[in-house]
Amino acid sequence: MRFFPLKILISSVILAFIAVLTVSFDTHPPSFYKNLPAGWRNPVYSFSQNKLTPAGRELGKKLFYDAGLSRDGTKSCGSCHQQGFAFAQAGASMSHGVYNRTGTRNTPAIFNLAWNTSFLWDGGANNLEVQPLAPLTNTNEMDNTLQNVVHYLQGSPTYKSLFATAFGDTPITGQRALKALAQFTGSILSANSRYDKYVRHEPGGTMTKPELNGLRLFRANCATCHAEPLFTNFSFRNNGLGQSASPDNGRMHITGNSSDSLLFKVPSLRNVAVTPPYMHDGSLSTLTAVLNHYATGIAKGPTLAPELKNGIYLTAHQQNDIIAFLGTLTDSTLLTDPTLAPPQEPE
Amino acid sequence: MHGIKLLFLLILCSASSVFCCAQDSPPGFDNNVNDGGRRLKGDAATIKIIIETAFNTSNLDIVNGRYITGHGDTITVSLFKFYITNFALNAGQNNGTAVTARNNHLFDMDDSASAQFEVAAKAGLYNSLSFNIGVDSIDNTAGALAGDLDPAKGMYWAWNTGYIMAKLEGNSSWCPTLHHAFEYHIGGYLPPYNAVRKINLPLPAPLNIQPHRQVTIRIRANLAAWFGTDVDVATTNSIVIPGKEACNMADRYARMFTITGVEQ
Repeated sequence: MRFFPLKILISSVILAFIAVLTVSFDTHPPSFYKNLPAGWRNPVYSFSQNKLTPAGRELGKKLFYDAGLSRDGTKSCGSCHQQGFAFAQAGASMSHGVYNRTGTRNTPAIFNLAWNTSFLWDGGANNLEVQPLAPLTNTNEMDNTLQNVVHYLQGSPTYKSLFATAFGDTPITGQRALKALAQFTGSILSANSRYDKYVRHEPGGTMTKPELNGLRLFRANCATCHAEPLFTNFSFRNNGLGQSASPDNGRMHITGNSSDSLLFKVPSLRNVAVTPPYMHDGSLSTLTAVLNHYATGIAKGPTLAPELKNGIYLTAHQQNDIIAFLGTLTDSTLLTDPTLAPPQEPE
Repeated sequence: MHGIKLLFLLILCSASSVFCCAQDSPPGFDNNVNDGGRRLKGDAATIKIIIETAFNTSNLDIVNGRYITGHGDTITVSLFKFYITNFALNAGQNNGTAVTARNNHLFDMDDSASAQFEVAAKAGLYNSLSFNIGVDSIDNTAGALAGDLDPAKGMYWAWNTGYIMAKLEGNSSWCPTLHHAFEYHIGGYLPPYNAVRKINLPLPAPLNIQPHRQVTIRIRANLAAWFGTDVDVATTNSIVIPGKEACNMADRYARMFTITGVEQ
């Protein structure tokens, strides 16, 4: 009996800590964070330093679709990242920039960015908030500076009022523009494909026999790198494409290590059916071409991914089933959600 | 039971205050002042730092100045910027007590206002000062930051995230480059090529700082240190990525500072 109060005390202390922990982690949960799909781990980018609000996200969307952010006023983020193609660029092997310039890599699709551990094909950007600086300043993309963008925004009465609404007071800064963009890009979620409904046992989650066989084959042959549920493990791999027409050492450009030569980020395969052409250099135009590449087209080299040393041989029938399965990863909610579409200007 | 309840409440309160303040300033600093935690509570003193620029014995002149490096190359200087962060005063025998909160400041030769900044310090006796040239890895991975750390300040790499710790640009007829220009953009926060350098400068005499007083410390940055005697601008005229060359340059310019005056 003498120790009873002590026990209460200890358990109270533990409970108190748990309570405090829960409260401190739950301060600014973005709406999607509270309803994480089953089996998804917590995002890397939690919005803890960038409170997600409707006004902030709306501002971010306006910035995303504003061609005024580019040097010649012709290209917005949305010019290359098109919603109907899972925010990749339809039919372009290389991204298209200002003054009809052409970039050196294929436009990556944009969704579930809050889970990314790094950004860009070579992982050069380390945080969602600063990723836009790369396309913004690249001479072959938007060819601008953040200083210019801030100046442009400060000169606009519309932006003045949008920033004031989003951030509570008037200053328009580079930080705030980037934070607002992150509110939009970081909340683009793709978790509602037929595959998702299938794994969640939801209505509409039916898969055909070939699709189910494709899923089985996918798990056996592809899922080491394209790991569920995000369909990437965010690692960097040399997938045997060899050197492109325009030399690009990929990850080595960032780390300086020759062991990283020709390594590129493993992309998510969600929505892959709507994002041709494929690979960092857009060199393969169909999913069949991709599977054929993994079967017989691999260029050997010292940095080739160990998983691909022997190629991935599949019969034509098996390839068709995998492609059928990949089709179930298309998320029509993402492709048609009006809250992700360009803002309607009241001209 | 009342005692236990009280204890419970107490623990709850102290625990929540720990969690609330995890990213805030050290004890003694006023966290409610939105100036990066530079202001102290109570009997704080103000340290005013004035940065002077020179090339050996000449004051730096961005318009007309022509200087001869230790290697013998004649150069002009058109741009000079660097980050000075984590400024602190240290009391030698007291295990080097840092007296200022986390702070950062961008010096830009083109902006005379940036040649001065203030930090708050606790009253006490100090023997040396220290600061970093460059931005630490925490701020290099924290996304978009504000004030002098705003990426719009032009000291930020886009293609490979990270701050440029220091920038020096100019011209020399020895440079076989467009417009005979040289440019040193020194940065990188990842080991083994972390370009942040900690500078320790002994004060000319022990400094006894009284409460509520202002102390002015003048620090001279001598650009000749960037070149030493071995930098040949004909061959070393462009360092714009993190790496060994950048770190070598950071080692050189870490030696450019001296204290030229302390007034109170």
